[in-house]
Amino acid sequence: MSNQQQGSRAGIRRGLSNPALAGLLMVMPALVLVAIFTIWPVARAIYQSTRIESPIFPPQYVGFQNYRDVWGSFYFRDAAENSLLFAAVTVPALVVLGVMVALLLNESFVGNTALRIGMLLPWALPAAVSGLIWKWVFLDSWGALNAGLYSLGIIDTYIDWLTDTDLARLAVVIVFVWAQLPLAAVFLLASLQSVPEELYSAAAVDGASAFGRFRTVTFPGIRPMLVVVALFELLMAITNFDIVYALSQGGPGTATTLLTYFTWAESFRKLDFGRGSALAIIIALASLVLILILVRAMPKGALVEEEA
Amino acid sequence: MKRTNSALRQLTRTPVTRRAMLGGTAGLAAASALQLSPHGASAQTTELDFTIWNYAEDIVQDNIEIFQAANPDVAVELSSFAWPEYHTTMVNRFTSSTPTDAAYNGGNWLEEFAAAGWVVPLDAHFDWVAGYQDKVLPFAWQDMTYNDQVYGLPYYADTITFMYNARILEEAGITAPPATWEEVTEQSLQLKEAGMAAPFAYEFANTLPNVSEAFASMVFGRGGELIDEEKNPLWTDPESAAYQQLKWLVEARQEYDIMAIMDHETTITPAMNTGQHAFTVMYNYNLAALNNAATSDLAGEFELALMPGDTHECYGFAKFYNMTQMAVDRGQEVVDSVGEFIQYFAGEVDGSYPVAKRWAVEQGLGFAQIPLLDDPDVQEAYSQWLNIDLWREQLELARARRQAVWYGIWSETFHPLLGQALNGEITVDELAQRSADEWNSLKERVEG
Repeated sequence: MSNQQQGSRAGIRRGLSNPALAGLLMVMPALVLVAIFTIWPVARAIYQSTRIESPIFPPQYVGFQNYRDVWGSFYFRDAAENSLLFAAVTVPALVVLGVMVALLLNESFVGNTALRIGMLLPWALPAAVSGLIWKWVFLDSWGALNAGLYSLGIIDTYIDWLTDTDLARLAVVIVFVWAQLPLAAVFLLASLQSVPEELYSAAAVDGASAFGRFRTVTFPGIRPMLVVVALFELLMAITNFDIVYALSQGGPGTATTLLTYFTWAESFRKLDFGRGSALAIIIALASLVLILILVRAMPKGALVEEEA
Repeated sequence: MKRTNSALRQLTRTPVTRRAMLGGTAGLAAASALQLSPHGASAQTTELDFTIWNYAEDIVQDNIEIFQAANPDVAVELSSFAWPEYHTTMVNRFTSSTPTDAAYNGGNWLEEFAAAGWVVPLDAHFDWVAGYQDKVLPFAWQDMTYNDQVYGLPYYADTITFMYNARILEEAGITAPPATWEEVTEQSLQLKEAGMAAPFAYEFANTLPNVSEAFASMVFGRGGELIDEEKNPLWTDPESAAYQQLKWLVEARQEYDIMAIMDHETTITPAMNTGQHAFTVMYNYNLAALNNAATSDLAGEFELALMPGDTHECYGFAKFYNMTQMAVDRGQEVVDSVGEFIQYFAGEVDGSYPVAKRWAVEQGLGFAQIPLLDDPDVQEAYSQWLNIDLWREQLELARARRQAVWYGIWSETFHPLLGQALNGEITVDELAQRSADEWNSLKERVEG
């Protein structure tokens, strides 16, 4: 081994003995990956959002014009309202239904295991597939739902599930909740099972009713997970694209156009990657602000399990 | 520029043993001898990537195999995508440089793809293209032309036409199909009074390119245009045919409640077969499906009528084969192979048009090749589902629309706006104004 090689090895050893440098070296591989897959794309999106970037429009720097155009468009207003409404309906629905399903699955009954496995199926399906399956259910002219209701004599004319504004919105909500509910329920079930059984016994001894046991034992026990599920589902609702794409294509009109769908349409259907990027950044910032507001609005300790 | 064929690739990947080395040497010697022979099979083929929307892929693949048998030096790889997503798919393919040498296209996106430099004019590469001008229907030729250059040869050409169920009308005592849109309303109301919930089946979805094409066809029926020669929108003028047609569509849904909205022709065809709808406007080839006894319960009941309106004109279009810039970038051999491919698929081969004729006879697709109009096989096939004289009359009245690079992009805003108006969320005036604003904004961005 040459003196030079020995010198470099000693240098490396000295470097590693410096905690700051050693730490930097150790996180470097992760940092490089984050830089490649997160920082660079975000930086590129910010750059692109200040330009006209399209295969057919002459490229040029436009400053914040893309943001102003997007913000001022009727399409954006509709999409933003739809997204807020969608999140406001689906997230509470998922939390409430998730708790109910988790409570059910936490009881012992014949077929419980099979039910637990089977209920994961909607979640395991790709969202686009769920959207397509449900499209055949909701189709106005010869969908399974209309056919079933008609043959049972419940309706005498077919219902415009996907071409009536309100019903189409309801259809998207139903499919999203159907697809997301298994995961929410499984998270909450795991949390339920971590609540000590002795607390229920003590509450029973104290004469607490079923609702009382839920309010004083179950709810505090699963509260951190409820927050996690709510935040997770909020993000899923805001970024939901596949179901809308497969089920309603944002229609009728703009009734089910969410911000994510609008972003995709702006970029890939209207070939305006600058405005698409501006919109993506607006969505990211809005999501961040919304989540911060929610976290701030939560009672202190909501994310921390209380002492039993 | 040729890609190494798979057999050769496999040979180079085989682990080398003494036996393999000997065998390989012998094989290479034989291959060299074959290369020297003028009639020997070439060890290499030119591979072409051909992208289509998903209509009858089995027939396309079969046509490819027939072509390859006649042209063993060309191997065609087929990729197929859903029609409503075709535009997005192609934009993604082109922007990501996904290999694509030849592709379906239509007037919907020709200007856009040509302006982006993704597809190239055929007449700039092949002298024989100009010779087809007199053999192709004028509206189809116009649809394949951009900036006076011809970008494609026709896969098929068709019209968007008005169809009706003759039995339903007869049973209702209606003696002739509607000749104007006002008559469509009157007859629909009559049928509605007799118990039919939605006599007019309307093909509409936000992402469906057909929507703005069908709208153009209805406007043409009234003798109107969508834009003037300077590419300014005409539909904000309440007296214009385009405004009148927007008004008709919205009133049909909101005021008269005679319209059912369906998202695709594949939805409308079975819906028409329930006998719950009497009228529709679709690509003409759908009449073949409606009157096909093998798949349609009410086959034989559906008829073509001239597009309602003052002039009965309609929208005529071509879907065609494009060559891409990527093919040109690969070199002259690829360009030549794409030329052979397009000529076989769209052009004249030994005095006939085998592929276009097959589409017409087997699937009822329209065609642009004029000689096929008098082909007895085509006439025999068409007469099974169509009044040929009336169809030829409609064909004479077909025309292409005026072009604008931003037309396809504008449609992406127009469709949701039309959807909002159909659902009563905005008025006809708001629909007309907002879609005109979008048109003008795009025009300004492109033209500066």
